[in-house]
Amino acid sequence: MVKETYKKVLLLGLALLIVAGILVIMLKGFNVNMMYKQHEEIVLNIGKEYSIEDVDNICKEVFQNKKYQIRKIERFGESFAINVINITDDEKDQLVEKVNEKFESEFKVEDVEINTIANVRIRDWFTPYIRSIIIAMVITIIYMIARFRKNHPIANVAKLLLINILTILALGSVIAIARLPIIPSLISCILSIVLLEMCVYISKNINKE
Amino acid sequence: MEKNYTKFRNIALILIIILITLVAFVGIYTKKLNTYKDFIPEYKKGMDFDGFVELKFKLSDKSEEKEVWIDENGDFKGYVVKEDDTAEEETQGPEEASKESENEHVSIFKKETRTIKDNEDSVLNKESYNRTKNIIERRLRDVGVSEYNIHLDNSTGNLTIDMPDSKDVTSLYQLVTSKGQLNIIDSNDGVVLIDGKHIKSASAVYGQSQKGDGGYQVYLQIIFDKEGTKLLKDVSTVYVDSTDSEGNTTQKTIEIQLDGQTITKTYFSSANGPIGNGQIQIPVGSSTTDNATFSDYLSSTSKTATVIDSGRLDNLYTLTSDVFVVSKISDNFILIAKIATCILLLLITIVLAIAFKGKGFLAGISNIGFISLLSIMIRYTNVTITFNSLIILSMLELLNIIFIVMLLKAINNTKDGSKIAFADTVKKYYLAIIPVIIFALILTFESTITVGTIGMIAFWGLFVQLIYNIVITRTFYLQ
Repeated sequence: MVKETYKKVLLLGLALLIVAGILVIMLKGFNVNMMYKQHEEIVLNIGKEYSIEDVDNICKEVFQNKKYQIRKIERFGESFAINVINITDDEKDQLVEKVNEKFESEFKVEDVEINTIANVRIRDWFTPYIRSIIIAMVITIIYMIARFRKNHPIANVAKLLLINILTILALGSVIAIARLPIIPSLISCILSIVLLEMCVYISKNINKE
Repeated sequence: MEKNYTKFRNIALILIIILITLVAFVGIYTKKLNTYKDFIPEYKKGMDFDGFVELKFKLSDKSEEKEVWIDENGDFKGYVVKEDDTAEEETQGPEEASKESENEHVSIFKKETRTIKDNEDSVLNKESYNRTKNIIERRLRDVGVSEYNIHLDNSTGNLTIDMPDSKDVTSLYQLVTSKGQLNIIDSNDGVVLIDGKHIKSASAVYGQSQKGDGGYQVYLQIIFDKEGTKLLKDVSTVYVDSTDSEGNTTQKTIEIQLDGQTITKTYFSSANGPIGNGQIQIPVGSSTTDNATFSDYLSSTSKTATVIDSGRLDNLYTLTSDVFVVSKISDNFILIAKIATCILLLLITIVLAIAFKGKGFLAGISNIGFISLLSIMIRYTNVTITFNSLIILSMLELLNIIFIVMLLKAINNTKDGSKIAFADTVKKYYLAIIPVIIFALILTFESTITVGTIGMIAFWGLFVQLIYNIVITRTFYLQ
């Protein structure tokens, strides 16, 4: 009786979570890591070694609340790239001035280029997985039908697929609501969780037999 | 007596595990040329850890006024070859040969001056950019670049490609900057005789040199489709060497051009008859007995073949920058991660020891040995380490802990002996993880590193787990 109640509460909670997640995705979308969104980049070669902390301090002063990322460029450690969601003319002027001040360089504002880096489509992350996952899923379903052939195979497969889909939706909702940054490795996280779920389900049913 | 034997055996196993762990995390250093190097190969790191080359390309905006041949519908039929472009014929009567050809085409086609742009307005759209991007991706995969990211700006068409650094990177520019337009043209007037759209496939092949010098000759082999085969047969009938009544030999020559650059200028031998099989083999460089030269020829011809075989790009790009981006993951971070992993493994051992006492402690030690052996195996099997593979390694570690816990519970619950408990546990465990085995086997065969590394790590992890648990873990509990 208590177990049934817990199950109902869990299912209700899950449903609410998924609905909330879908709403957040429709209104705000996922929080994609800045490096995968369209953003702007400035590359500076200062001709001598530098400390990332110094560049970081300059960026904090110039960009304040904006998210930015500093990347070391080239193996000699004399260049860096600053990636920001967008760079205004004022920010560019300030950045050049502070870099010249700190590193004794002679950059001119008009010579420093701002490059626009295009976004990476999230669906492109899934493309390499699609074919393999479909083939593996088909073989897994065939195995499961064979495994549960004496015990409602179709119902078991359908139940497992439903659990997997709900898990993926729930994880997606948590990621969207908590505004966790989306990165390509998330796909292998989700894949691992789904595979573990399948193993637990099969294991429970083996024990029942 | 038996107790002493069991103690001695377990101590020996623990020492073996300590040895494997030291080899995996510290290494075996041997002296090579006045420096000490680890005998165990290094990890093969992906772009996430090793850094990458960032290539930026923009759409070429070049345009040029050129004289072209057009047919009655105004369709392009070739660039008019100016008289000073035509190389001298080697035989008598070059003027006669060119005049004859030009006369033929002059009666069919008209000359017109047009502004030829590298990227016409009709291909400056999202669909063309995406088609171009797909072809470039295919080219990268075909030449074996298994790890890459492509950022396409749909509004400007500009491309940024990230790929692992290698000595071949500059030769890979061609995959993006070459349209892949191969044409066979009349070398005298420039009329396109066979358009590249009739190419079915292209490949690099080689064979022994026909000069009899023992060397090998690399060829670019082009196979045409049905329409192309017909055209090739006609061309190989007309563009041949011939001897007139006075004994003068003339040759009607063709040029094979890739993106407007001549690969070769030749004619077909009348003695061999027309080519009916739709295949031509274009020699690349000269025959050679030197391995390094041969490899270079074969490598560059393979790239050219890939460019042709993958299809023509809608858009033409020029390279604007080529920089190496250092990985965000510093050596310090890796050291911290290694220490954190060691601490986590010790914590797991402590938890198992608390839960299952002495048996749990042995299981924890066994688990450490499994991770150590797996890390050595990964290095020897040349599996690329990426963030994806670390996630799968975590999953494998979790699976191993599950196996260990199942085994310990089975041993505690059984009176029949640990052998039977082990056999039962193995059966239940491997039946349950069949989906993981299936996914590991399928994903291993993916050519892209992003997906392939997941399969390879999972496959080797499960393989090492099976062998290791049979040899080491089981032995701990044998009575």
